[in-house]
Amino acid sequence: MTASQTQSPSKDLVARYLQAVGFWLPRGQKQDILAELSEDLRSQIEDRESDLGRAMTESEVSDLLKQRGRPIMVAAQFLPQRSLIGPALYPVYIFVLKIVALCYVIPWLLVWFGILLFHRTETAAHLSGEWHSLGTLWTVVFTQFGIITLVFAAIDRVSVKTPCVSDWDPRKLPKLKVETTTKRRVNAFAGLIFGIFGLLWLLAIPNYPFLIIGPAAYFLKGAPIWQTVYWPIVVLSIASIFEQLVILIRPQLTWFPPTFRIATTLLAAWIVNALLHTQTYVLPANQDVAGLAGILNICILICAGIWGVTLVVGLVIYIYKAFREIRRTSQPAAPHLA
Amino acid sequence: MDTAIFENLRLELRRGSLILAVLAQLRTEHYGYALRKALESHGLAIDENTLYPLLRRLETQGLLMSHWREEDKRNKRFYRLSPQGEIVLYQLLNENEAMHTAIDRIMAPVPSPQTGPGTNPETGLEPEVLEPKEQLQ
Repeated sequence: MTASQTQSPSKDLVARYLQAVGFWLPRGQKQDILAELSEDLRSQIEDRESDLGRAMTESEVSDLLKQRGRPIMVAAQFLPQRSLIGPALYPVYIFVLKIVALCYVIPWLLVWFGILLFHRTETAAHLSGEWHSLGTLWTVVFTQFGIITLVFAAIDRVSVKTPCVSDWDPRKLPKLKVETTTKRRVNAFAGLIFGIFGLLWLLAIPNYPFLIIGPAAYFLKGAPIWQTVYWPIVVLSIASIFEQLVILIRPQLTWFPPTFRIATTLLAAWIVNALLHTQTYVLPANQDVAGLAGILNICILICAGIWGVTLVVGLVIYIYKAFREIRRTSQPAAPHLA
Repeated sequence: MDTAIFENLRLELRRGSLILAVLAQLRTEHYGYALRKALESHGLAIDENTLYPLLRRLETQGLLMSHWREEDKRNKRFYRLSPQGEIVLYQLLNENEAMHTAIDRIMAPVPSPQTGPGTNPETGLEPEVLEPKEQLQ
């Protein structure tokens, strides 16, 4: 005959409840806590039975226990509060995760999407390979996020004991960032001057190729790809001048630069795509300089690749800034700090 | 939604007051269940899942003392305020008093010395100052 069979169903229910609570309690305090909870339950049942004038039924005891809560929840109240990353470090942790997402995950996804779009591979093997690379991304992302979480959890444990949390000097805080319209105008004016010089330089290149490749212009000539991308590059340069002009005239339109740059970045992305598909940018005038042309072609290809990556990162930043500025300008203005 | 917000704020407000009530009640010795009943009789119901962990925390902090003793042929754990707990209790009571006084001052209607264009002609108050009942609504 087991212990539960020798006692009444109500007492058996209480004993089972306490056993379930005890499962989650720390070993050192388990008996002490259970003895106190048991005494409390017993007193409460006695009080209730005294009011009822009879013994409580199993169902009534069950209701009482249900009212007290699930055993794991009851036990949790006795455990020290545990969090992997405390409130002091949590904002920094989220900030780091955002940086990782912004500088790694989003560009990766955009590049992956770009490859999918431009290659337009329809064979099952190619599609399977691209899906596989997406799966690899998630593995890497989860590993990175996991490592960051563990590092922050470790810092949180250590930083509680170090004085650096309370030892700080308000005088060492970064200076207040106040971007005035005057500052924006000055920057736009400088940008406008450089933009005009840049455009003149660009327009002069077809007649004076040494402006871009120096003395090599005597024995190297541009590949046909430049005829395709030259005018889009000129348009890009004019667009930059137009942007600086708008900022100069209307510096308060903070939403305009990032929104406009989304469009110019997309045009630049088209140019980069065309460059990456060609891979021949200069042609040798004679066979003696074929090696030099080859090296230059590789250099331009690498530059185009780097330009492509910066465009992707830039696009993400401009989308974020445009969204932020549009949202900010649609809300009532907050008072300035200084 | 509003009920959930109110409930969270109520619990937040209660948390500090419960500590004060438990410390005050334990100026005389009580065991857990008797303490619950005593607090309840004063209009401050506290459930066992809150009380027992709180008692242990306060004891760990040195504000309470406890011992097991047999009463009515049953072993019960009795708690009472420690000397350090007494000091902390009176400090907290002073703090609580100061807080209530400040809130009373904030809630008190401010009569306007001059009847300005924005003054309510019936109450004689500035428009942003509401009667306590109105604010609660």
